[in-house]
Parts: sequence; C-alpha cells; structure tokens
Amino acid sequence: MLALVLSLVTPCAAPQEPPADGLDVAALAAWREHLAPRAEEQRWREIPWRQTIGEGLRDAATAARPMLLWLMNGHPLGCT
Amino acid sequence: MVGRRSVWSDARVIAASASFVPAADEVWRLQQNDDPECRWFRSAVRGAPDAVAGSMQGTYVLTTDGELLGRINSANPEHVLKMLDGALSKWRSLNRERPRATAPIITLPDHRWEDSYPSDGLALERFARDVNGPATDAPSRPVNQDAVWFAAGELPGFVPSSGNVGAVRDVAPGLIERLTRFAFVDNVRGQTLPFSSKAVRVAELKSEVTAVNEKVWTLRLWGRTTAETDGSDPGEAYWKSNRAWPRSLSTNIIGEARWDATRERFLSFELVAIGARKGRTTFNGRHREQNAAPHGIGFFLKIAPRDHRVAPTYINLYGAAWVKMPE
Repeated sequence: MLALVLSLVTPCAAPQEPPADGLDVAALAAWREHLAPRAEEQRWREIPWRQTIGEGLRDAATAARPMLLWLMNGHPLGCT
Repeated sequence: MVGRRSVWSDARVIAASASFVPAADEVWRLQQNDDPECRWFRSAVRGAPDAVAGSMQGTYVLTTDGELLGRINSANPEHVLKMLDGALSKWRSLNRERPRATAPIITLPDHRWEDSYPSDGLALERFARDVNGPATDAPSRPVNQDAVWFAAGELPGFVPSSGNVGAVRDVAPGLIERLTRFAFVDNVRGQTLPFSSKAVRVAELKSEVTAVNEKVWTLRLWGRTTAETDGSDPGEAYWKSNRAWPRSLSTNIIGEARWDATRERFLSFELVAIGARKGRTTFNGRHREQNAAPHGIGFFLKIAPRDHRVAPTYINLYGAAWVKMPE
C-alpha cells in the first residue's frame, strides 16, 4: 500500500492541470476524513484550556480557584 | 503529545479539571525568559527566579499568589489524578484561612507570538498523520497538530485576479513556501525542525476559480512541494541540532476554498497534502525506522476555531512584516 501512497508524489511535470494520479478533488473528502482527528483523539479539548499562563492566572484570580497548568516543550495545545 | 492521549483524554481527569482553572503553555519561554510572568513562574515553582536549564515540562497546580500546591510530570492518568486530589486538598485547607484568591502580582509579557494572531486573515490548524495505505483504511495513530497563519494582506496571493470560472493563478511563492518549510514537516510523533529556505526544491500551488455565486468564488487548489536537506545547514530555528539529520519530504496537494470577494476573506479553506518523507530529526520519534526508506505522510489543513490562537511553531521564521518580533 505504501507504493500507492508514494505514487502520489512521483515527480511529475509542473502542475498545469489538477493531478491525474488519484489526488483530485474527488479524493479530497476521503483524505480529509482519513487525516482529521477523530472525536476520541480530541477529548483533551473538552477541557476549557486557557491558552497562556497569563489567561490562566487572570481567570483563576477571578474564579478564586487554583490554576492547573500544563506545560510542554512546544505548546501543549499545538505542536508538542 | 502522549499526554493528550493518555492523561487529558481520561474522563476522570477531565472531570477533575473542573475544580481548577486549566491553562496550557509552552515551557521553554517560562524557563528562560526574563519577563515578569516567567520570573513569577520560576519563583513559584523553584523558590528563585533564575533561568532553568533542562526541562520543566509537566503539570502544576498553583495559586495566583504563587504557592505551588502540586507538581508532576507523568503520562499516567492515575498519578496525575492523585496529584490533583492532593493539590485540591491543600487548596481547601488554605482557603479556610484565606478564603479569597488574590490577584496575581505580575504584568503580562511584552511579547508573545499570539500577539500576531491574524484576526482578519487566515488562521489554519494543521493535522499530520502517517499514511500507510489508501484513504479508506483506518487512520494510523497518533495525529499531531500545529498552525499556519496568513495575514489579511497576504490572502489575495491565493486568489485569481478575476472572478471568471476557469481563471487560474500561481499562488504567491511566499505562501506556498511557508507551507513547504513550516507546515509540511514530520512532527507526527513529536517536535521536529523546519526546512530552511535553501532546502526547498519544489513549491508550486495553483488556484482556479471553479464556480461563482454572486461575490463568493469557489476555488480549487492543487500543487506539489519537495524540501530536502542533508542536514548540514543549521537553519534558522532557535533550537539547533548537534547532528546533521538528512531528511526530505514531498507532497502532492489538493484543496478547496470559498473566497468572499467583497470582504476579501476566506469563508472556508481546506487542503490535503499526501506525500512521502525520509529521515528523522532528534526528537521526532523516528529513531526506530529505516532512515533511508520512504514513509507515507499526510496533512490536513482547515480554518481553526476562532478561539484557538496558539501560534504556529515556526512563526518566528516567517520573515513577514506583520509578525511582531521580540524587542
């Protein structure tokens, strides 16, 4: 199956027309479905994360609650 | 990234988080920078504001006046739950003596990359997975994400100049180069390096008007990219590898978008890029692979929810005037 995938990136002439190698608009929906995260892969987004420590501190002060702070190399809500 | 799958997708942890104000941030800046926010964090956690080497990754519970109630670096939800329970007990104990939280005595930093969020531009979220077969196969795991931003003034570079069906243009080179260097990178399993400008071999994207409905143009996008490096060029990223990692990544791209020609904004924008990659970098989790062999990879980009404003990993390398750089 890898051969199929690799065939999609075989060097070809400059794309004056939409590619005729299987990656066309009709394939867009199928690949979108394949690549987009599934619901179970997005459960962490159910938590109402503030996106910076500053927002967390501000809202924790307002809510009179402690701040739960998750830190990673690379933003935990982005590429980490 | 493993924490998203293991800890923060656990129903018990999600429920426990409701007792706190959850926040997430990038740790390197907090360890190294000298602004009041970063010094506040280091003082709260370590008792001193000095910059910290190594890594302070993990989960913390802090009061707004700088008391550390709990700390753990674990991908085990049981362990994190135990820490959260303990921190909450401490908080309740504190609150008997000090019923109101005090406002944090810090000032916001002078610079964050999120300050450059293109409110009237195009903020895309980008997902990446390994691809081992046809689209109808079950997707491989994991999936990782990042962002790609374009300012409002850059958007016409995606759009043919006339709203006639069949009008075609080459997307502005800087825009497809941004995707090639910073979005089409192998961070499926973890952080990687961007491609330098010298590594770009092919960066082509075309845009064609396929339908017009009053002032809304439907566009089809297609193209291809190749970036390749022997790893000897250290590139422009903050973090430099101490080894040369030869690597390449090629894609074919297909996409669709709807352009509001009156407001000069995209109403929708979706791209799929399917390709092959070779090689690895230090931290991207490919150390068990045959580096010389090609592996399938796929990317999906779409407009991000408006409340998701985490900056693209390599925004500091965009070289665009609209990106606010640190003083």
